[in-house]
Amino acid sequence: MTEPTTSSELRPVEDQSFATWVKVNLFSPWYNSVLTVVGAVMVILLLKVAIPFLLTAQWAAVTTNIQILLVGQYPSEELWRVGAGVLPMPFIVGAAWGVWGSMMRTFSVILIVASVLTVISSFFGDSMTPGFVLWFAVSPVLVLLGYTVGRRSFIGPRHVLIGWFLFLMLTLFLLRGFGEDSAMPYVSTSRWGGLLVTILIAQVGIAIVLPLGIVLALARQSNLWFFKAAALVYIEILRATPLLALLFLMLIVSPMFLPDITTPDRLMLAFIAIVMNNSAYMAENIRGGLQSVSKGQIEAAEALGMRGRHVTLFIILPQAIRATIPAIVGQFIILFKDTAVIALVGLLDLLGAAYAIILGQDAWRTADLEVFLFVAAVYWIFTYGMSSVSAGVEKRMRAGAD
Amino acid sequence: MTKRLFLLLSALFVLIAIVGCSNNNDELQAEIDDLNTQLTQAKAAASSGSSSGPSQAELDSVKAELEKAKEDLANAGSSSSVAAGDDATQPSGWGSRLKLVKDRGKLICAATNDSPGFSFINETGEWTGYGIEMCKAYATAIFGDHENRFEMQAIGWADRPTVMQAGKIDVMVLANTQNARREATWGNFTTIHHYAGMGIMSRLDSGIIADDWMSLDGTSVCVTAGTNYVPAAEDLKGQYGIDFETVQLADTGPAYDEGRCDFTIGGKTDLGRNQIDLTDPDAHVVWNSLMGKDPWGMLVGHGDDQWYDLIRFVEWAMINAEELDVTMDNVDDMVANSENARILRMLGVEGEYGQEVLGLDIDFAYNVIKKIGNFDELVERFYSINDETRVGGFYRPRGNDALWNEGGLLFAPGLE
Repeated sequence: MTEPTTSSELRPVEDQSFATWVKVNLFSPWYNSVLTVVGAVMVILLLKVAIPFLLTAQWAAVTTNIQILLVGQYPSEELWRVGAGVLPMPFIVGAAWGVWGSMMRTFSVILIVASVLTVISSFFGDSMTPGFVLWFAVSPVLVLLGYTVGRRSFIGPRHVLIGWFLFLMLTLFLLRGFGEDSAMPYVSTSRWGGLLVTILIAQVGIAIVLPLGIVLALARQSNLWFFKAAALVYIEILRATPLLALLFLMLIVSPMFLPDITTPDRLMLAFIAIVMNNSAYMAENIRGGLQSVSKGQIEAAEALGMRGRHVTLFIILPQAIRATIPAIVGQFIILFKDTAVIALVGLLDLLGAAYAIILGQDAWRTADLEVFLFVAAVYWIFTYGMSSVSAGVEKRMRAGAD
Repeated sequence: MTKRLFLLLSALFVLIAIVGCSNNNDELQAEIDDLNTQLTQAKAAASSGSSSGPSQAELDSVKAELEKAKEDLANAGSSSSVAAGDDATQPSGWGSRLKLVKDRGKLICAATNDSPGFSFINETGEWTGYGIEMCKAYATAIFGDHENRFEMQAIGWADRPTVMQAGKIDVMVLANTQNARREATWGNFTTIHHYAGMGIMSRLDSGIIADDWMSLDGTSVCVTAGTNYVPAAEDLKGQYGIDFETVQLADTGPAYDEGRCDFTIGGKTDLGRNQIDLTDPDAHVVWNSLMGKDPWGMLVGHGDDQWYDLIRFVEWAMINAEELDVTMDNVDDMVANSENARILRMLGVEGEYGQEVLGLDIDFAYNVIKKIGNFDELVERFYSINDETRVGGFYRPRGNDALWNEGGLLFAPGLE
């Protein structure tokens, strides 16, 4: 590994004492001194509030309600299905880490650390169910197992993607169950909730939004006026409507137009609203990429005798998608965070569960800060993990690797 | 090539549009045609004077059927954008909701998940609370048991009017405040089960005398900004000709606790609960007098009197059971040994008081009391003073919710 010599290495060695460092970095021009003082005061004020809070925090509000926060109202006796259904996820993350390397490392490490911390914290209070502790104890092992599998040369990115998709289908199947009398009775989606729903909506949403966005972007570029107009109307209407308005329309207004005997699947309606909204944005992201592909590329392909759809599939799309990967991952992060909005229409996702605990359970009405901090931490773990993946992808692209 | 594809696709689109817009009125039309032929045949037979022809009564019945079919067709046409007209799916008029519930095999209740004691989700993810128990009681009355016979649907407070309008749910078990406009536009409020009200909590050291409105003059009040407590505070000034400073805050709790103001306005139920959280609860008093009425009732949709009565029958049975001291534990004994005719009639042992008209089992009250308990048992489960026996919820004195013959407002007609 040869790094180009930079000018900094040629500078004379400076006095490295602490006092000099402080003087240079914190107080050198006068305005930096002001900023340092203001910053220090703010940190002290924050600690003054944070330390007493942390000493008296009622974390039991989170630990006793960990079931609602993680799986919502899923029946207690069927929880093994959630555990089993979600287990492939750490494995897939590990496999992705093995295949893609450094790009997925941060995400995997964060997952391992979070799981280990959860297990450790369970020793300080006995309020967490052994099943959950067991799951968090097993998942880091699965990440590492997935990593060793992913390192094998015969496992490629394609296998990981197909595996992810198949496991996702399996998870949904396990969660949903079959008839009333079977070993795995049917569990209506109205009982799914918590982090489970947040993650499922995000994953299935990502699996649908990206292809849908590509199709919409291509339709908008199409020469056929019908497709062009349809895509234009779809994108412009959905981009101009707030997600919350769309959710209200789907969950509260749309049942009026359904026959009375049917009870609409509210989770599915919310999911459709999120997918519709995000696919419109995704289409615009990808259209940006499509336009960045130079006309010369298309002309060259045509000159080689490639047919229209082949030009699109093999020449334009790969370049367009590569150019928009940061925007695409950004949209995935937005989709993940958008799921929190469904709490406002009464669904019990991670945030909805937090509201249900603070407002509904009389014992924890003063523990709002603890519960919201937990929720914020969980969101941070996933969004930071995703943005670290995005940063990794950009780094690879810049290095020219593929 | 592309032009042909485009033409094909637009043709397909037009076809889908036509199929989508057209209704399945063809069936009804066929039925009408069929009846018309029957009618003409019958008429022909009658005019020919044949003795084997249909009687006048038969002719009339065919005519009536024809009229009904025509009406159905007209209804289906007018509501084509809403739903295909079919009696099974069109809840209008007497008995339609009960039929819908029985066809579905489940009662659907709507509730919010943020009301402690009333409707909330416990640690294991189960719906709990007074409202949920009432939903179980209704299901028990209809199906004989509530196991797998009811389903809760979570809604938000602001969704209430739209949810009622959509008519997807059977009963709304919420801490709904009854007032005239809601009664007219949302649906029918059933028996009032909690007489809450807007109340006042004041500091003992502020010079305010509890229940003396005039003593509020010259003091200050903390009210939550954006709530109906703000105009209520203004009303108070005009009503008693007094003046006080109004401090609007997003969260009144801490400000009131720190002594920013002398009194605070809130739901009386909440005030009692907030008092416990204050630094020195004994330095404050919640007034007995109320600033406004806040009667809570469950909600059912307009247009089906049978359903409205059925739901109220269940509530009346539970209140009457409290009045007659029939409890979960002694109900079997009452059925076997009681000599009180009112009790025996209520439990369906002897006599009848309209259960069958409403499509209820004769012993529905027995089932409800056996599985859910009487009104007092139910309230005690969530609002008892005893922390040990209470399941979630908080202590709420019965107060105005006491029975009519015990100085309260709770009243139910006799089951006779």
